[in-house]
Amino acid sequence: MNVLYLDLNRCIYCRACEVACEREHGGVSRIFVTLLDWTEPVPVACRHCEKHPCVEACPVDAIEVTDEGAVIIHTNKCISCGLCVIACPFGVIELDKAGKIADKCDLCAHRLADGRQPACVLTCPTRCIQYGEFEEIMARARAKPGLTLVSAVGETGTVVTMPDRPAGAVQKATSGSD
Amino acid sequence: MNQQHINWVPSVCPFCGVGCGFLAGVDRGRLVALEYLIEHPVSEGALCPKGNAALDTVHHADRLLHPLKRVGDGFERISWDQALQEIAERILEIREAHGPNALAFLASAKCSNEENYLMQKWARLVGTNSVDHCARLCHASTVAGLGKTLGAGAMTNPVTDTVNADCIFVIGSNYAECHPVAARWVGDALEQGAFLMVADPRVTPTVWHADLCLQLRPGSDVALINGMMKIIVEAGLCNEEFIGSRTSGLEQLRELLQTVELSEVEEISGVPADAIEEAARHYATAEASVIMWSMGITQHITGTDNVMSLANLALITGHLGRPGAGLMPLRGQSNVQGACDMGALSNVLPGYVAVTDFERRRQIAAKWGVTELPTARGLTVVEMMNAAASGDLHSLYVMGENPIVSDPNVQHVRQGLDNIDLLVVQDIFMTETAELADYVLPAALWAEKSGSYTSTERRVQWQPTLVAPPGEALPDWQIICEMGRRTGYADCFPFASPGDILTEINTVSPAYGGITPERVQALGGLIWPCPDEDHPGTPILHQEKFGTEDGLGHITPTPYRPPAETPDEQYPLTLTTGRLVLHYNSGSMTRRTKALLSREPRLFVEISAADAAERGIEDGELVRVATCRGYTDCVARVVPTVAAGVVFMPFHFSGTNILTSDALDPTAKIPEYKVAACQIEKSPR
Repeated sequence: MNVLYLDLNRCIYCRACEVACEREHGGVSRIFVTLLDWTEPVPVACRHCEKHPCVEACPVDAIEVTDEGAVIIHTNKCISCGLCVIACPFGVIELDKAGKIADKCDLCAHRLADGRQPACVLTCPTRCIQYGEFEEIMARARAKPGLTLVSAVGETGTVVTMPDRPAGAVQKATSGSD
Repeated sequence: MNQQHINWVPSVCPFCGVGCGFLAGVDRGRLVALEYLIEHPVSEGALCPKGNAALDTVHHADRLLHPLKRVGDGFERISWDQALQEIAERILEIREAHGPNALAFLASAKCSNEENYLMQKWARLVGTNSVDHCARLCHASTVAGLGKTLGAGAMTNPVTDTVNADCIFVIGSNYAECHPVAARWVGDALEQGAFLMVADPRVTPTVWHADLCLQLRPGSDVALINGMMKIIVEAGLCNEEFIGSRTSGLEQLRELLQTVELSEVEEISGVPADAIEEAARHYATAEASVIMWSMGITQHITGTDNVMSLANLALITGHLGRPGAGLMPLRGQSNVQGACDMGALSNVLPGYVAVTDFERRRQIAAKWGVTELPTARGLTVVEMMNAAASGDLHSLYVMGENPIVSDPNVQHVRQGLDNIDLLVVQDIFMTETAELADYVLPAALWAEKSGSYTSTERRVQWQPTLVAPPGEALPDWQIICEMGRRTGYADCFPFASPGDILTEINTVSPAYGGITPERVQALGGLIWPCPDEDHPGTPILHQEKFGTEDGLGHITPTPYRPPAETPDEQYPLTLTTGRLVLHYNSGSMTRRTKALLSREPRLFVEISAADAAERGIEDGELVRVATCRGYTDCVARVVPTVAAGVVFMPFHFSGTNILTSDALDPTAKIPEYKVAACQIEKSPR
């Protein structure tokens, strides 16, 4: 089973993933990098959760879990009720500009179909976003020094590690110069 | 989109100097898609946001389509024949009336090696060494400082070799924003346990990952590095064997370091002595240490000194000439290294032959079929603008540069360009500088012509032609060939293709001797020096000896000098400038790219909470930033990432360089963009 892996320690807030996603999906990005406290970047996109509240919430079964573990919205079935938007614990499902169709990361299904990795994965300058076999990803994540495993959601979903440091970079940087 | 018809062509990213590759998808004469080129040796498919948007400028509606001639306040469309003939005649008239040094030429780090080679060849044949380009504004001090100490003004090790370093010392580089793919290799080194230390006045994204941050005051680099060297020398951490066999000048350095007091270093730099000591020990004692720098080091009146200090540090510790051990000036444009290599600098011919070197200059002249070339050093970029303002310069021919946004003290630049008799701008868009021109010539961009580009790590890569230029736009090499012919040098411009030009470069520049049109087209190209056709290229320089005449590394002591401007009562803050990840240089490409501009839409100034509170400035408020040269209105960002007393502005928007200083480094003639005394107040608007 393939999963996404976010190593938050390597994100540099360059936002290449956003521009790549936007280019790959007709001008709308489905990944958002948020900068917390000016120094802590967090790329947020659909985690393709193992327990998927959006699927449970959808009254018309428009959201499907594929054999690869991807959680996909079939937009032609969407009735714009917005329940999945409310249900999503990560806040990554949005209705389109017209307020009609729910939209989110589809793991670049069109790319996976012809053997190419998702655009955000390939473009990421720092290998912050990776995609691969769950066991292999977990082995990679466990081997990294000084990182905390934040989530490893069964055999689907997204593996996330973040830096295991007591204070933010700003404190670390400026404490010396005062 | 039906992908079946798409022809995928490996291409070189047209933005920074890392030299990433991607696949450009061509369908029926248009660039329609971009795909990641996983096989590329530097980027492995990765691209920063700018690289992802590289195609957006190609078929852009703003592209220049026809030659234009100034008529009153506007332009009229003219034919290529009329444009070329009139420009050639006016250049010859000005040369007749005022001599060849009334002419100046700006080459371009965005254009290919072949085009830069032609531009400097034409300028020198016309009779002047006043041909320069934006390297003068970014790494001229690297070229000068490393040339003097190591005998080669270029990065010593490839970007990917960073993974072999145990200690990575970054000073005055924010590679995470300016060269994002370099962060890939640093990140890999960190996962293998490397120690990262970053010296920067700001807490940049590069600093986020550092083990040690030295938040120094702008312009205090030499003091900091001398302090580090004093600690290394006194603690006996020098590499005596390396010093003994491969360097000269240690004694003079020892004498200088005896006058350095760590308490003074602490006071000048604002970095506590124990942090300086920690940095010094890490750098000296690591198995392999690398130093990475960019404009934070170079854009000072002490730029050359800063670079020489870093070379000294590497020489006394022996961190050169091995995997993971080297000096890495990260260059900012896709072909800024190449434009320098080609001699598009006012003091050197191709291959860094000094214009004053009688014998080697004559050899190049002979290859060009003339008996002599101009002998005096020409004007540098900022000197050109000064000469224009004072009336000594009458003609400026600009290829792909935008000095009215990118040069320091732009109000002075504007005065100069207004004063000049003939301003020709050859570009892809109607830039702010083109708007002032007498003639505007539409040029092809990277995808519409072929040629070689040299990345920051000396890697020469080939960009094939992908699509035709829009309208009547022509490749820069064709335009210059035509200008050369029409100004009387037809025999010197016999070229029918960029390959023909590269073949001449092979014979003129020894380091490019084996980088032939056939070999350079392989994926990843070749890394110079590559002297002959069997040579595999040279990823790591200085392994056996240095490029100096005696083969030794010349330790060159550099005492600390303060910046040209220091804060005073009227201008109590220090303004420093730099790049953002979403924009590029003068912004003429990225401000026309929706995906980038929408994420970073306007000019801002970063200010500390203390300085903002003192002035009653709120985050997001419109403020006025003033220096003794002028003022600019922009939005305040109150951030914890700059120290009190320091403010930061990006330089991609018109306005920032109204403020910056044009004080020059005496050797490299690079202006001190990084330090200007300023004041900030709420905007009266």
